[in-house]
Amino acid sequence: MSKFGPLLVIEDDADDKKIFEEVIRDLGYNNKVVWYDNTDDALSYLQTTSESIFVIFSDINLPGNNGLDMKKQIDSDPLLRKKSIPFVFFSTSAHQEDIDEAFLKMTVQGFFRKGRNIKSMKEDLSLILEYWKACRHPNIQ
Amino acid sequence: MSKSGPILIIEDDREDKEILEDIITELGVKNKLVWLENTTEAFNFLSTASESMFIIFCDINLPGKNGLELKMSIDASPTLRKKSIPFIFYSTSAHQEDVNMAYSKMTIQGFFQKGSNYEDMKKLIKLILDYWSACKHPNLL
Repeated sequence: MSKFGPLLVIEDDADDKKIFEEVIRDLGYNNKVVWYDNTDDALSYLQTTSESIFVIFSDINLPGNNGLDMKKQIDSDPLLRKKSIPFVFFSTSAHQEDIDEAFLKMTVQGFFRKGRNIKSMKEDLSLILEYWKACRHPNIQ
Repeated sequence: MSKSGPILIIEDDREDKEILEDIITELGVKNKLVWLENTTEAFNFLSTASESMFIIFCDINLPGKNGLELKMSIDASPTLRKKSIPFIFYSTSAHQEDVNMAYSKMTIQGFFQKGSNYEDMKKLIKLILDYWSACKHPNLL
């Protein structure tokens, strides 16, 4: 986790990913955005990258293993557990059962529903990034 | 975790607690504040409280068991684990070893160093409360 590290976005909708990146740039963040459209590729990236990821944004509904499955895989991987990268669900759907599972069966650092327009998305992403920027970070490699 | 639930402050410095209380009141936050000076009382309160807490602000250095030890006791308690209350370290000191331990040996929702002046503190507290207000919450009980 490093404030200057990449943002990992796991999102299977290319339009949503594009909007995400535009909003980040509009807000003035220079962090690289690393994008995967499925959790298997995202997990392989996390396991092999030498980059210090700043925050992981994951959708819930994804092809193959969904976002909740991936978070469980991260938690059960000692190396990734140690990297302790803030993990935030950023999802179009926000079914109560998914929210309950995210908080009760694993530990997440937030669960946000994607805003319906650019303005609300901007507010949410600004809030999330400012929060983690203000937060003290571990320096575990 | 409930947006309208009490905010628990675990802090042994009365002045720091009063500042935090003033800020929260000035921000127009209506949540009840519960203040406890040590971790033993805090653990007992959390274990027996029937109210659903909104958030826990905990200092690191505390008399008796410190904040890190309290968080480990919470994680080890199935009842408290299930309540999944956002746990934030809010501390004057932020030694890197404590930050590393907080992220890797337990799961927390943030580690913030107290601002050096009132305005900085107010900005930080607003950010933390806005973040958890915008976040989707599990439906408990």
